[in-house]
Amino acid sequence: MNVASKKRWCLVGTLFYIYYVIRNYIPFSYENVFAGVDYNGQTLFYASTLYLFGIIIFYGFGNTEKYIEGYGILELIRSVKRGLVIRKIIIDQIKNIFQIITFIIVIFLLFAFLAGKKGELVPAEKLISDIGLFYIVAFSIVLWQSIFEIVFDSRIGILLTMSIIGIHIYAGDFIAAHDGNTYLNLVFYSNLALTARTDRLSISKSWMFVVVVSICVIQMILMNLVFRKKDIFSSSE
Amino acid sequence: MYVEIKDYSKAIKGKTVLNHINYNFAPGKIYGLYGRNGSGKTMLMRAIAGLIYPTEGKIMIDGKQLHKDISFPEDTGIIIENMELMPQYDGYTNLKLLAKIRKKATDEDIYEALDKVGLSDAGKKKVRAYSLGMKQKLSIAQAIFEKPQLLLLDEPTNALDEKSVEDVRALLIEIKQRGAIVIIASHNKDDIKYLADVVLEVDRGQIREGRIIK
Repeated sequence: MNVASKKRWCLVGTLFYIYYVIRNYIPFSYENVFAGVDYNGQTLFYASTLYLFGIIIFYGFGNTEKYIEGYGILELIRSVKRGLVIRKIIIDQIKNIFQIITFIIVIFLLFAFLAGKKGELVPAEKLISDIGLFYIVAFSIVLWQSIFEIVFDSRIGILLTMSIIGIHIYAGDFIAAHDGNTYLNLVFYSNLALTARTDRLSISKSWMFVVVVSICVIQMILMNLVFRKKDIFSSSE
Repeated sequence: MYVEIKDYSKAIKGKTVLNHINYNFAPGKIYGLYGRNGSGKTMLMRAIAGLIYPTEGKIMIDGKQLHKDISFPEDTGIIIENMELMPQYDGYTNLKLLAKIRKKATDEDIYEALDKVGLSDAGKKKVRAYSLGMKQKLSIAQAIFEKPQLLLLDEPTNALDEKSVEDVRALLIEIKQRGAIVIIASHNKDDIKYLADVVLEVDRGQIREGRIIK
């Protein structure tokens, strides 16, 4: 799938998601765009949460695989070190995450304006930390996607990445239902992207950032290790 | 440039595809890899290009070990199956984008390579509109335009008409004469006969020098 086509489908998906959020997340709040689903919430909100992550993962679909097949191989062999290519992949992922999340936020605000929705103003510090957490969690998710695309391929990558998110969200429910240690949410950290969940946790946002950033660093090291020894074949093999 | 393969083996999913290969490639020669499908010709090229990781052994390029000192040979042009150029751009733009990585080739080098493969008339035509033969020619141009010291070509004359095959052969001889190592793999006996200074028969992951033609 080419980049233009992928962007078009992401646009369609985003419009659909934002329309759903505006209609169903009541009362309206500017945080609803990344509210996700509360612990043990309604089924439809699980669907919208997975859909949101699905848009982000779809936007990253094939972004790593393209470096190790077809035209990417011609670029690869011209790079003296594989590490340089890993750096390029990481920078690309940062740019992609920034693009898609910013896009979702802008569309949300636009729809809210057009629908005449007004919510209470959220303190700037909270807004920045919520959006920042969403960015960093999303970045970690696409790093998993990158690792899976290197080890397997883009289709298995998308499947495994969505599975991780699903496991994290349901694990969060399980922990909440059994009055478990809320610090376990740091292990199943996709929950930290959802304001409906983080607002209930007695963990400081700073700790959440530290943990997720540390996970990202570990992932980047892992990606480097995996890529160094990767046998590169053409896409048809 | 010198390429030294030292006791190189590669196994994939338990199957040995390259088996304790020892060989040295010297500059200024064309080496023809010849063998059945699945004999290991393309795998050997991938090994020299740094695309696969050895199970045992090593490859030295000018004294530097692949996967240790360098990830890929520093001055290589390559055609290995299913490497497609970007269909939404024309031939010149494709090469221009690749040229930005090593920053070695000039616009003149790009035009010269396109001219040598007979694509100078393709002008602004997008690659998606190319015939198979034109795509093959562009692949060759992509491999040679930076004037590499090591050229790895898998089936370079595939899909080419007779005149183009002659042009490509002349081009490869010219490249050899400027001191590059040229390694071609081909099912086409005529290519090997015409071009190769050294024939390497590849069979079940092992190589041996065949009859030297010429």
